[in-house]
Amino acid sequence: MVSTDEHPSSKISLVDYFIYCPLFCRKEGQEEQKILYYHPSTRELDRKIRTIGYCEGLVKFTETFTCEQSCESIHFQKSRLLFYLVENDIGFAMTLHVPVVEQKKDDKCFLEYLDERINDRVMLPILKMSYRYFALQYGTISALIQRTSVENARNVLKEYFDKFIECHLHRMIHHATFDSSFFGIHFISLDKQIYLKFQAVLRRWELQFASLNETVFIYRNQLVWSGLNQDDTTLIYSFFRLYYWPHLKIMPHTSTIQYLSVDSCANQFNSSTNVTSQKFYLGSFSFSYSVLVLHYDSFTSFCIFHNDNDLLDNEKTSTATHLFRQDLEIILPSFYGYLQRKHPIPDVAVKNAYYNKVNMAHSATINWHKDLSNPMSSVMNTLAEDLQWFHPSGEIMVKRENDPWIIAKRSDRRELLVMINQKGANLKQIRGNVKAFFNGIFFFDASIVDLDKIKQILSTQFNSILLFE
Amino acid sequence: VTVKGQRHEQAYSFRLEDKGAIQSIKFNPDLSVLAIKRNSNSVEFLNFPSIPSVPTSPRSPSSSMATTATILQPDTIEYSQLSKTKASKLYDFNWLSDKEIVFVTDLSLEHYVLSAKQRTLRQLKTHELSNIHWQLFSREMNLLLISAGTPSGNSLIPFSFHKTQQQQLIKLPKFEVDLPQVTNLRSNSTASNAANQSTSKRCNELTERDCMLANIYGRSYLFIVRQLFRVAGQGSIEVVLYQIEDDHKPAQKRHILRLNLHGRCALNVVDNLILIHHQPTTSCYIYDIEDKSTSQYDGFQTIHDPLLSQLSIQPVNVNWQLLSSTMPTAPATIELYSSNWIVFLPNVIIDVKMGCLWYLLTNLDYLLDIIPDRLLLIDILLRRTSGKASILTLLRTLLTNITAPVQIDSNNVSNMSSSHVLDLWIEMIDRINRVFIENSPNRPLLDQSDIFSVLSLFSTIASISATGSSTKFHRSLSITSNDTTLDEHDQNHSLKFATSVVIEYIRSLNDYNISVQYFIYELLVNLLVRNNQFFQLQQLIQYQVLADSLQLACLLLSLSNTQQPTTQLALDMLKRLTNANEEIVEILLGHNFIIEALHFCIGHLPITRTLARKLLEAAIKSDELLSSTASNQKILFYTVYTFFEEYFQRTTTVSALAQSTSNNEQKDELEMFKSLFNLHFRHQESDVPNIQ
Repeated sequence: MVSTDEHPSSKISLVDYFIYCPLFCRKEGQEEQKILYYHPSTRELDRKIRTIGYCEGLVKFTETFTCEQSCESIHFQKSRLLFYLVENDIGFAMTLHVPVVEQKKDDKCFLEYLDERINDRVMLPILKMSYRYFALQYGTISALIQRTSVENARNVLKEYFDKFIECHLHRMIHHATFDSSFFGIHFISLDKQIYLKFQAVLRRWELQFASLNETVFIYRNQLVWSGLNQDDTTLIYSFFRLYYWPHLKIMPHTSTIQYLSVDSCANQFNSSTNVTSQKFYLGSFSFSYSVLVLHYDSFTSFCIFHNDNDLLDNEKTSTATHLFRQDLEIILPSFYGYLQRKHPIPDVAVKNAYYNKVNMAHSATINWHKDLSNPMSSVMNTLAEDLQWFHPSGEIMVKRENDPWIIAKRSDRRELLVMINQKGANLKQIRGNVKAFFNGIFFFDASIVDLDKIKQILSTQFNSILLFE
Repeated sequence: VTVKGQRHEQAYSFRLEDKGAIQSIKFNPDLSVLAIKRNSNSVEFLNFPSIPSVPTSPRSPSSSMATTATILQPDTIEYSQLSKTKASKLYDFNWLSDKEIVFVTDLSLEHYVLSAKQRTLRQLKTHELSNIHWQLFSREMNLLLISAGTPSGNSLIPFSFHKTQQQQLIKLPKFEVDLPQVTNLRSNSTASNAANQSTSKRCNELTERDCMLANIYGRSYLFIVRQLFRVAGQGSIEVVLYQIEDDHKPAQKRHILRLNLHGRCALNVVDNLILIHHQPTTSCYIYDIEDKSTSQYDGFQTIHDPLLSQLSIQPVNVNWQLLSSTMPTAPATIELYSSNWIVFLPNVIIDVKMGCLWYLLTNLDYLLDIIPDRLLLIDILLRRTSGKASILTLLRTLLTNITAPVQIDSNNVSNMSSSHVLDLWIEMIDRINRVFIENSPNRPLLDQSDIFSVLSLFSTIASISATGSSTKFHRSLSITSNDTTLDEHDQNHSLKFATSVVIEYIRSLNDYNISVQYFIYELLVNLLVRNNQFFQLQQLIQYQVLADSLQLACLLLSLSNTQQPTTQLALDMLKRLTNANEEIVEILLGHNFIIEALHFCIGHLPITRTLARKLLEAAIKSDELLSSTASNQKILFYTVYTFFEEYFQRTTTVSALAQSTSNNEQKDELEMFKSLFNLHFRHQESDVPNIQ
């Protein structure tokens, strides 16, 4: 029913994105009231109302048939509709354009829609995350409406999402992969001694402030420590990756203190210590926090304060920061020394992506945009989706004509995709590989697999975790 | 003449016949022979029956008497030994051991071995020395110091001997003690009065009264007390410490203790602390020669200022703790620092008038109040033999500053910030662990259970927070949540502090390569869990801050619930331990992961019939669970059974002959399963041709 006006393209693209709340329509004819936000806003009202009504009806309808999960996506021939219900009665939804290829059959041109190119498992997290980013900055929508008014909430949503969709959402959808869908965390690989030293520094810093709740400490883009719970850590971490990391990557050796704010991202490194703090909402989104962000020599720390009391005293903050820096400088030599220690060179023939749902740990040596052809990546996406059916463990191995072997494996809450580029390897050899491959923990940025000595190496590599066979 | 001997806790008394004035009287170390000097060239000896060891001794009839003083019956026959060099004057004698004695005369040292049975002495060696003035002797230090030669008495010759390796008296290099004030005083004394001249005379020579021997920090020192007079009527006291070394080097001047007072003073050494009792001001000045903060090193020697000034001996302590047991009724008022006191090293004070003998002890807990600098304090305490209890008290009060700030407000450190306390904690715990690792004698060693006794106070705050959060739940229903969230933040802060303290302790232990014991981990895990910090726990385990152990894995398993799956952590840990494979199988079976358990067994465990039975039983149970929800036809049982049937068929051909007898018995274990299998699946045999 949702037809596209745009020229059919071979890429996945965002058709529309909308937020609605059925409660605001009390009488027939007021359906317009349901719309909290609609992108693109140029679309005619009638169609907006129809689309929303359709979603609403579908959700209600499917609710009567399933007790556990509500419906999250609908596959149309030309588009994909995904939705996500938040705060009981507010719906987030987006429509994606299904990529097409032109095919010729009997001298007739027709469009073939490649439904399998869009993977719900990959796209749904983007929709969910877009809501969480919003809530991080503004709290829940219902709280926002209560605090101010529906009209104001509509304005806030419009302002926020217009910008978000333009700057980020298009790109996120375009670059979405199985990998990115985890919104997982890259943990830094450190040994115990250095890690404990970091702990000491952080804890000394934390105890300086009575109102400092927790700290999230990141080196480049790898998490060193988070005092937040897992959900909030993921949120802050992916927020960091979205807004900060692109800037930091370019200029790693700067140090600034500032309150976390999205708007200043563009020119954040020019701004000096400013005094106004922005509220952020974590946990149940009901309590707001001030967040102070420190950059120092490739380290970023997010310090979450539950009030401003400590921060109002600028002098105290700067002396504390100074101390923090001094402490860090003491351990940096041994830290860099550790990083420079020679890691084995990763084997180019074997690539992997690893994800552990228990601690959100995620690491990958596969470069999804370089290493994989389009069909390959959709095979992988499908495999990853299939993994969800295994409980508690399972394994699939796939090989297409000239492609590498792909092994998807699940072990309770861990998921692993391995790509082995070995010509002429048969199933038995490959199986040997994978078995041995699962011997380490998430620190396998140095994973090496020499195919000839595969057993031997792999048994040493992944020996610290238990994987079901 | 009645003599009372006081040694250890027990007092002994005996009678001697009057044979003239006794100049000196000394027991040998095991109290079997008494040496008595009544004239200037001979010593009489008196044998005693062997002394019963103090608490119980069935051999001695005298111990049955319940009095504090045991009556001893001396041998009736006395025997004597004359000094060899007839012309010389016998100053004194010293027991080197139970059987060895040294006579010090003005011309020689005479070393004898005594045979108590034969009542004779045999001379071993004589060291000829000219012009001996006086001697100092210390059996604890194995040292005999002789002042000989120069008339001022400042030329000293130490002799060392071995307690175990007998019959040797080794002469160590002689050294001279400088008397720097002599010239200075002479120029002054020309104009000064007679009284001053008499003191200057005393300063010109080194007398026995100004010298003492004591052991400090395992080293032998000679103490020399000097009165310095710069202006008449004013002055200061200096105590110079010469270290007497064993390695045949002359003794070196190492330390100078300064006191800006003059007048009579006496020295005690207690627990490696040097106490100068200053009589005119009736106070004590305490020095610690290893303390850096009160000393400065001038290139040759270290000059010390008092660590603690103007302290007084606690009279109450004198009454109840230091009083010797032989004084039954101690008067309530004891004149402290009276002129009747005679002070002996290391820690003996005798009041001549009252006839009391005290041992001086230090009350370290008192230091907690008078030294505000906590780091200095911990250093001092770490050098005290009995410092352990005080250190624990110190740590405990330090931590309660943060965890329960209401309890202490009299203390001047009560309003310390938690970051400051953490800094102190880091420093202290490092020092404590350093001392622990060095393991030097006479230092308090605080092991992990000691620290744990301090850290366990965190368990109380953790439980407070648990009740706090539950009340918060009730309150937030009725009242606005404003103050409760504040409460929560306070709780959060003190728990954060608690975790930091424990983690820092673990860090310090790691730095010193001390393996952390499980109860420390357990404390940390409980703190984190009560604070709902599962994610942090995961991170810490991930970085191996909590080292793997079977106990820890079990703790994690017990904590596992649906929201916080720590089972994965526990399983990983068990796998890393490599010797816990059976536990892994149990856990997998417990989670009904039958096939996974089977796979794991194949890879990691020897397959036996007992194992097969366990798996089959679990498979049946798990099938029952599944059959309620799905159309399961004992699929797990089928899979497991067929695997084992095939496996045993393959292996029995090889090993059956070797152990056929035992196999028969074991086979019965699986008999039940076999019939069960046949019942369910045999009729479908056409579908499964590979099973028989």
